Amino acid sequence: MDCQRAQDEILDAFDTARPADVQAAVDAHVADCAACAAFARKQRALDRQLATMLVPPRLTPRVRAAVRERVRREPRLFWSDLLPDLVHFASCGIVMVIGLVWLPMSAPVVLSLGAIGTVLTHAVLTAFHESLDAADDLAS
Amino acid sequence: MGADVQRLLHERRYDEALEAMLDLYEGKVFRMAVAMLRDAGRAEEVTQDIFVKMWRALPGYDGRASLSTWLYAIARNTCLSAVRAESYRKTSALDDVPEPSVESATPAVDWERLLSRLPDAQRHVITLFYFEDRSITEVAAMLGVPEGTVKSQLHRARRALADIME
Repeated sequence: MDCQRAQDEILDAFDTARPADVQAAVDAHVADCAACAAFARKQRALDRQLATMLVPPRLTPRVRAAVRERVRREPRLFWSDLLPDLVHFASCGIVMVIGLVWLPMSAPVVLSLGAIGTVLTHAVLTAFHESLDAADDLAS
Repeated sequence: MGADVQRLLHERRYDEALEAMLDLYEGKVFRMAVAMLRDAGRAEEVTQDIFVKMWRALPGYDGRASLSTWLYAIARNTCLSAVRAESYRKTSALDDVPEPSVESATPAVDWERLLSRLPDAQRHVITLFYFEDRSITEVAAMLGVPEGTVKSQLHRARRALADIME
């Protein structure tokens, strides 16, 4: 095992347990190599110091209370997410009613054409909204 | 728990979904904000912003990414915006900042200063690694990078810190 490999293994051991044979090879290398022994000592000391210093910070309960309060004050806009669909379906319904009255076709034909038109235009509108959302995501 | 949140979203029970997400991820998102902003007070404010943004976006969650991946992406973007705003504010107010006096320097290791000499990516990785109980998988998920990238950044950070301390 060369020094570069030994030092990489020493660093890996801080986050993943090394296989016994690899650890034995590292130990054997470190026993014979002053530079790698010093490297291992220094890294172990650094790891201990970092673990002491980088203690997970505690979150105060006021954060959750503040989130709840801010959400409570937010206008409830969820219904507006459905608004484009509602307008679309209502418009299609009106067009179908007009078609039933004015078009020289039988009612089943008009209703079938209306249903197909509604589904197709809804698919186009959905794709359009998704592309706008994707553009928003990219922009943010 | 993730499935519970999905069910709540399916039933459009967004306030309950928010509570469930807070239970699951509040601490992790806060630690991520602390790692990126290096200011616990500011991190608390940004954590609030992240969850309010998430709540607003819940109706549009399409399930293509896991909830944690989706939330961490919102958290990262919000933290990066806050970091940019903070650095702009500091740059704008640079003339008002007094130079630190030599007398105030202490002989003890100033870890904050030491870590600040690392590139941002390495600092975020090494800070979160210790915050998240040495979990490479969790750090990778939070930062949206492969586990191999986290490991290599950790190696570089450890070598760099050892060199700086010499």
